[in-house]
Amino acid sequence: MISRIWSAYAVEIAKAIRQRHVYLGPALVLFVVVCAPLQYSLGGEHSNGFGFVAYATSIVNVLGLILILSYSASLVSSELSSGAIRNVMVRPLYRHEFLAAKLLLGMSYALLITLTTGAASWAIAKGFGDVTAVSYGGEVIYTAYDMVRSYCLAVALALVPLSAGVAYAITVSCLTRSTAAAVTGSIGIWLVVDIVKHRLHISAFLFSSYLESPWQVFKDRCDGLDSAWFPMATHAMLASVGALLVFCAAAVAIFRRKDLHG
Amino acid sequence: MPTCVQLKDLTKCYGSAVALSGLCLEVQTGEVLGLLGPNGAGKTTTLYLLTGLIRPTSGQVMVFERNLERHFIEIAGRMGVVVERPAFYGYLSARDNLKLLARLSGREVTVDRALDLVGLLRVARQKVAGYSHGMRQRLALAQALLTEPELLVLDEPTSGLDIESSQEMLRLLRHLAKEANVTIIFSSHMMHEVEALCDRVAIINRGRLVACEETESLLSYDSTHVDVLLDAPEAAAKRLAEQDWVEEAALEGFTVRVTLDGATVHQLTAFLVAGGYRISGIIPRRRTLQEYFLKVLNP
Repeated sequence: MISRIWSAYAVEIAKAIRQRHVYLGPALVLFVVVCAPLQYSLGGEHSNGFGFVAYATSIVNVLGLILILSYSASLVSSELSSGAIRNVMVRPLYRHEFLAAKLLLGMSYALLITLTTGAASWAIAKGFGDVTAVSYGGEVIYTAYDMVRSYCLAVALALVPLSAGVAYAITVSCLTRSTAAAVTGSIGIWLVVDIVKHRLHISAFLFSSYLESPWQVFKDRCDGLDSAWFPMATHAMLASVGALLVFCAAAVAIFRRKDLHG
Repeated sequence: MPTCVQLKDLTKCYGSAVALSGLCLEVQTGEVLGLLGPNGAGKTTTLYLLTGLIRPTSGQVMVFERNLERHFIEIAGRMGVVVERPAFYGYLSARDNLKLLARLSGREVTVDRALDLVGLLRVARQKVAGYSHGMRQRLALAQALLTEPELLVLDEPTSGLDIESSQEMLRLLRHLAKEANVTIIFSSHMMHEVEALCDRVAIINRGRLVACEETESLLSYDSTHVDVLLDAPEAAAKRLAEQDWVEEAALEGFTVRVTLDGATVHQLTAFLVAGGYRISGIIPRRRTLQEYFLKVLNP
């Protein structure tokens, strides 16, 4: 089964690198990060390069999620609408294996968006700001190594709710043949739930509530504050992994019953 | 000969609409079965159930003596499928499309061999988006042949092809059936294709199997249908049509097409000779699949 999923994932990657629209997301993220110094000028009192990384990451966060949701929501529906899926599903590949390959592709895209943001913001911070240490009154509070470690941990933690987001968008994608409906549906539902989550007191159980939490810890550290990863990381992991499993199960249940006629 | 495909009491419903109802069918290994029926009869549904693209509401699909649902991976690896209106990734070349599909099949295959078989090798580097319908149809057959399947399931494989290309495709399928003992199940609206290729014909109407016969016996000569060549065909057709032992006598060019009703060719000959006609030939007519098809659908 692993080898079949791996083959399907390799096929998905080979297809993705040949599609122009795949590059649009990272290009847009790059553009936003490159333009970020217009708002957060590096130099003078804002010489803290880490602060810029935190700022750039925070402004890309929502855009990144929308890009990831859009891309993931199109993964199954586009194949359903074109009919190309029928040539794939008559091969020796189970439907849940096909979905696993799509999930891995969506997660790879989330990683690409995150890495693009990171690479661009760190490059600008290093080129125009100070990334030697976070200090207060001449005293070093966090070394550059501490900050890089914090950043990497934030990336790793942020990828878990993003993966849940990918699974959620793929579930919506399995419901419809229309790519436009899948994309608008997944973003629309997320927006509505995000608006009502505090009123309904469900915020703590939603993966989307933890998208910014890891970056908040990194941002606090940029400001020299001592912010802890726990219990936020535990809650984020539980809610996100739980959502990931639920959405994967739902996607498989929907897709296995789906008739793939013309 | 072992059974290759067995459809057991297959039913498929879409909501309250019944697309297929209690279909039972067996196909032997190496056999070529043609699936005929009017639009919406259930041909495509049958083929899709056979390939696992859709799931039956009830009943069982057995392929290579195994349950399709339980042994899908093994069965799919030995089956080639051409779906109706085949779609490919337009942004990739034909060769790249086949390479990706071959990778999913988990076998080392020579993509160019399949492209060569269907005459697409010269345009293999072109993006599929620029392909005509006929080229896509040929590419669909190439992807079905990629893994040298033991069973081919083809849904209107010659639709959209010009006469030359469809003849070429039929030749290839005939070769595969005869030389490689490939079992072929295919649906088509082209009666002459089914006549030329199939060992057996199954007719489906309104989701039910209404007939299943060997092609040879269907198309056998029939002594009640004769073509008569004689000196005054117009007058003869008129006189014959008045006889109660003649069901139909129609003029076609210089030939009178006669359908006898309870009489023999001897009686017909005697009648024409007595009437003073000079007969140059009485030819038993071969039944066509089209006639059989129409007769089955409109009994």
